[in-house]
Amino acid sequence: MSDLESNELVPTTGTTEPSGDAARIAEMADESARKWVQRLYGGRNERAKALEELRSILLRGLRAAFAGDNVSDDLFEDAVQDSLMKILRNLDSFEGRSRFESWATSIALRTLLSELRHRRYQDIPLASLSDPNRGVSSAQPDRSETSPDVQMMKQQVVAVMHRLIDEHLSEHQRSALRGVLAGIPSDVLANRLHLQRNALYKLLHDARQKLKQGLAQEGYEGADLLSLFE
Amino acid sequence: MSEPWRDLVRLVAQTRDDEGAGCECCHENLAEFAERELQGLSRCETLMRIAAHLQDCPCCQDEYQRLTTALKAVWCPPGS
Repeated sequence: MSDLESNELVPTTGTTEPSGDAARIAEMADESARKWVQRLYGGRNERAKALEELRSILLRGLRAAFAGDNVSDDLFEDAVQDSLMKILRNLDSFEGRSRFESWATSIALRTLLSELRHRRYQDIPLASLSDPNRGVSSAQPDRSETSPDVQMMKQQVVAVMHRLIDEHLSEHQRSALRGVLAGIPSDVLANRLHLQRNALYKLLHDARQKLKQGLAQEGYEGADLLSLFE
Repeated sequence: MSEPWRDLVRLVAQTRDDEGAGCECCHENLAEFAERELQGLSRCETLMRIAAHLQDCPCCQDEYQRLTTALKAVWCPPGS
């Protein structure tokens, strides 16, 4: 809590007035959002009360969102603490397009989700994503389909996908697809590949477009594929 | 058929020509999107792009699903 009360983390000089943000705050449609921002820009005591209230709200939201994920109380508390600091640092970017609590909850949720994803996938070595003999190239469909015809069609599609991936994608795109096939979340994967998440999204989108076009040229159209792989 | 391949083929099949909103744009608008969806309100053009992105990006979809659960708990706590 002491960190949160430090002036270094507070976006204004600590007066009760919202300083240069008065116009922006006044434009916020939601009265409650205006009050939240004013309190967090406000004096020390007012800010501390607002932070304590917000802490309780964020904890409630996170506990609901991660119920069943076996998250410890310490991790919840750490995530909320980190989130409160992020919220204070980014208060200027809150535009009031949602309720303040919703905006703050989205930050807390992303903070905890990112931490959990990194913990879960930290032991997967980067080498496994760039080894051409693993991931995409070695993944095989299972044999559990009851209809031999359907199973054969699926295997044909996957075989075409293998070829298209090998022949038409860059190594960077192949690495990203291996990560996707390994179930690695995009924020973790972006970090591993030294990309911004947006850049990874674009890389994967371009790869998917190439695969879609390649499949279409082989006679496999989107609607048919969705039906086959439903 | 292994789940990852099924998911990949489906993602490829659903790929749109336009790139749509990226993950960062989704982050910036997810609270508003989730709130309006929970209230059954209409989507502006930006939020339409977010909806399309959520179909494209499993990570953002996961965030969205959890956020709606969290917001329900924030706005309608059990026992309230």
